Amino acid sequence: MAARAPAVADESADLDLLKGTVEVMILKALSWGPMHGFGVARWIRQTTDDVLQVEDSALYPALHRMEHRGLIAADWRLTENKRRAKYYILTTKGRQQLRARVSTWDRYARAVSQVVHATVQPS
Amino acid sequence: MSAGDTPKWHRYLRFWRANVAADVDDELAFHVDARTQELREAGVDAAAARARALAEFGDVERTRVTLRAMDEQHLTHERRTDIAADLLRDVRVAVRGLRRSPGLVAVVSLTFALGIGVTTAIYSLVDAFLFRPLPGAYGKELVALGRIDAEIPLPHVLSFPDFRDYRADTATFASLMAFTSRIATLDNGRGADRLWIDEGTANYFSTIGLRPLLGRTFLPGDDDGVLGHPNLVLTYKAWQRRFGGDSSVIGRVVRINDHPMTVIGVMPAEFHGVLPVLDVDGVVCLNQLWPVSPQVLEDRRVFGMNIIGRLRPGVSLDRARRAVTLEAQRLERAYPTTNKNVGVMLVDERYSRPSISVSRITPALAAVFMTLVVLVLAVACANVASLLLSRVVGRGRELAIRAAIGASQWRIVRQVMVECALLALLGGLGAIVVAAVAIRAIASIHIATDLPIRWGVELDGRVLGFTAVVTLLAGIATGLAPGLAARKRNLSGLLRSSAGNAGVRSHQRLRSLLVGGQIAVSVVVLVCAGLFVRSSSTISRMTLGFRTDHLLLVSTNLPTQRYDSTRGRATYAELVRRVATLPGVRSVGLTRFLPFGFERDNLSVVPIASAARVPANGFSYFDNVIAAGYFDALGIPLLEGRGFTDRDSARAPRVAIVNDAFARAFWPGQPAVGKQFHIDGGTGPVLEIIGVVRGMQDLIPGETPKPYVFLPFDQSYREEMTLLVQTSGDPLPLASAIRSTVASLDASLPLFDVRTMNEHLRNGQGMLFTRIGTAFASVFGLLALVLAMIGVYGVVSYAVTQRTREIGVRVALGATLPGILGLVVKHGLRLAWSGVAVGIVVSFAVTGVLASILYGVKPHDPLVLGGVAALLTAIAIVACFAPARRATRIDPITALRAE
Repeated sequence: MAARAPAVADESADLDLLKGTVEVMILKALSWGPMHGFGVARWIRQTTDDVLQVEDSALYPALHRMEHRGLIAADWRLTENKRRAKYYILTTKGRQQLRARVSTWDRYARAVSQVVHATVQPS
Repeated sequence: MSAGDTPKWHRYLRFWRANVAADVDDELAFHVDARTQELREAGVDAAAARARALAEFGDVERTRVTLRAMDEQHLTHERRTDIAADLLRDVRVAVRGLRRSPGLVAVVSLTFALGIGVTTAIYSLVDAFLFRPLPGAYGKELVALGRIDAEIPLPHVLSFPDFRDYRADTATFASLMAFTSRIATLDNGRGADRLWIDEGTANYFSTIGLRPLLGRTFLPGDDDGVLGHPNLVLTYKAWQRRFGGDSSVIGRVVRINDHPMTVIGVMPAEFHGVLPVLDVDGVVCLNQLWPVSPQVLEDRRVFGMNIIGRLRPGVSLDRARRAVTLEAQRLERAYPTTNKNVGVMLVDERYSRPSISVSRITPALAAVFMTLVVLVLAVACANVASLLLSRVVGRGRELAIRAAIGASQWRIVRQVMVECALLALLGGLGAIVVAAVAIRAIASIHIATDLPIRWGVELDGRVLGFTAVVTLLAGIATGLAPGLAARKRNLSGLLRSSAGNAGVRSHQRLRSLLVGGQIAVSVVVLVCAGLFVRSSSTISRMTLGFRTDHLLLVSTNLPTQRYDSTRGRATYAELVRRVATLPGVRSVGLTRFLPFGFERDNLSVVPIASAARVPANGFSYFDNVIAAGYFDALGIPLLEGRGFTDRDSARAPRVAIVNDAFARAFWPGQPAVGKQFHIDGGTGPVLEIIGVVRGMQDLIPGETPKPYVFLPFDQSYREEMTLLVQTSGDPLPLASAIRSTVASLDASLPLFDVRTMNEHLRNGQGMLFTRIGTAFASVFGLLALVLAMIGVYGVVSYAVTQRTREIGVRVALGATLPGILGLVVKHGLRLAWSGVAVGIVVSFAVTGVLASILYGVKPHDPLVLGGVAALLTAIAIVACFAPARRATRIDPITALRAE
């Protein structure tokens, strides 16, 4: 693979991929604007039509990890219902990360797609 | 809002991060609540909605724990990097700032280096004497026992039978051992090596709890029986030097004093013998080193045993003191002839150094030194603080601007303190160099004896640790005042003031106080130095009652195994005869002891036909064994009778010469020649007095001569004697001729301690403390003086800068040159004199302690006090010189326009 997603390579490759996927989705979610954890979860659920089930208990560690790495920042604000909630905001670094990840993902998806829809037989 | 606004979210981060646990709880609770709410809005009933929300979430508890741990870890990490980054930034700013003022850096680090370096050196000395315990498991709990009696004014060593009685008190002592140091000769195959050997009871090593490096130490009972266990334990140094560090030395039989001894062990390098200042070569058990004198160990009149012991656990020093006092009283009753009026003293072993006889002086002396050290260090710190304070004031405008653009007070204080810490660090490094030099100087002090003296001063981990602590404290102490000044400054006022240093009056007062304080301290130290110097010069001018010039001293020792008393007498007689014929020799004497030496002997005397009341066991007086031209060489006049001649041979009736104090004590107003007395108690041999000489000082400079007995060498043979050679010219060049004369008699004779009488006296007992005191106090005095001068200069110079405008106005109004000079110098003198006044008052309190080691000078000697006051006045005037010159050059036009 030409460009690997800069995911934390601490566990199995599957988990790496999953983590990377979760992170990309979080970055994408936050690219629309500040959002709390529940908002991110809801956006992912709705956008993927429940195809990708990201468990909430996996979402939060990812949010915190990304915050510590400076990809996103956090800020306590009031919701429309006047409840205090922790909002996450994309940082400049996070925005760059998102762009890089999306282009990597596109190339990856294209490559996999080309393989699975291949019409040329091996010579 | 811009999501990339890092500083902003950082601020928020700080805000909420304060409570990690609560934040995690809130975040998770919000999620579940929000999802529940969403489901209810979709028509699910309340209980089911909550259950579903929780189920969807997964393991809430585990997530909670994970998040908390993650956040905690991150927070800690963040804090650490914050502190490190801040510190690094402070250091960088400080280095940049200090680079711009190299002069200040030089003066401050030099001041620190001197102050801390000398402090370290003195600490290492005091540490070696008082603080550092002996090596061994019980090093810290050892005690020393000393004998006190009416005859010798200082505590001294015990007799062996007395020791045995004290040791029997096993309820008080867990272990008590006795030892004494002896010289022995080791046959090294080519010639003779002089060894210093500790001869002790078998529990020598077990008392201090020290295990050997190689082999074994003594077993109980090794000190029983004469020559039954001729075992030798070597010190590490002797093993290295005399046996090349060969580990096969264990079990080897060596010849010591011409008798075989078996090497059974080698001690680790940190052991040098039990007396911390003596470097011994080895240790043997009592009765095992030939020649043995078991009868001496049974004689209560012979005291030569150093006693070191360890109390039983739970026994306090006070309780032990009561126990030994009771035992001393019992011994008094049981042995009235020998133990009447004999008491004992029990002290911490560390207070018995370097010998039990000075146990009363050492702690006081150490306290004086440490006080001097602390004072000098205080002066150094005050000076640095003062210099840095002026720097802070000078930088007032810069600091004010920094505060105005948002630097917190704490940040500014920290910046100033980091600067001080850097300077202290630089000074601390310099201090190690200064200390190393000073320690080498201390270690080179020679003492009037051929004992292998070890000062024990070294720049080891203990001492370097001390340096580090002192440096740290000095850094903090000096940083505090400027730091606080930076904080307290009325910064907005400063900005408005065009000169950039308004409101400095109070700081100027603080600086004046600091400098005044250090002048006071200098006065105290200089008064001490002055007293020591006066005391030394009194000693050197003191008439001691004998000649001190043109005298060469050479000691030798005829090994008993080859020289019996007959042959020894003949050899010494021949030696004297040959030396007397050397060109440049006026007269030659032989003596066992020297006045103000570290060795002496005493004799119990019972006069016959005297009106004086004589106690049962007689009087104990110092005695000496002499021969040939002893009195001639020393210039001691014979008052009555005759000197010793060939007639007073070993077979002739025993005779003695006494001094006038002796004669007066027993036969006042009568001729003493022809009178007789017993020695060694009322039944001992009878000696007839054949001559009376004028008394001389012997123990303490300035003392009234005590009764003293001289015995003829021919009738009281001693192996070790000192040649006393009176020369017509410089005595030292004669040494080589004497050396070859000795070699012509017997090439294997050890010749040691070649020195002049003046050298001997300078390093001798009674003078040594004064001499060391003089050296140290002078160095400190000089140091304090330099520091005081820098201090006065700093304050006055700064004041001139501050008053530039005022002086300009004065000049414009017609002030004369002398008027301006007077203005500046008066300021310096006011500072100096207030410091001197305080210092003299304080010195009264301090010098009282010195009274016991001063000779011929009162603690409040007017000459010393006046001299010190004059010196500091002069120094203050000198320090004012440069600023005063600057003041006279102030051009009123420029000074006024500068505003």
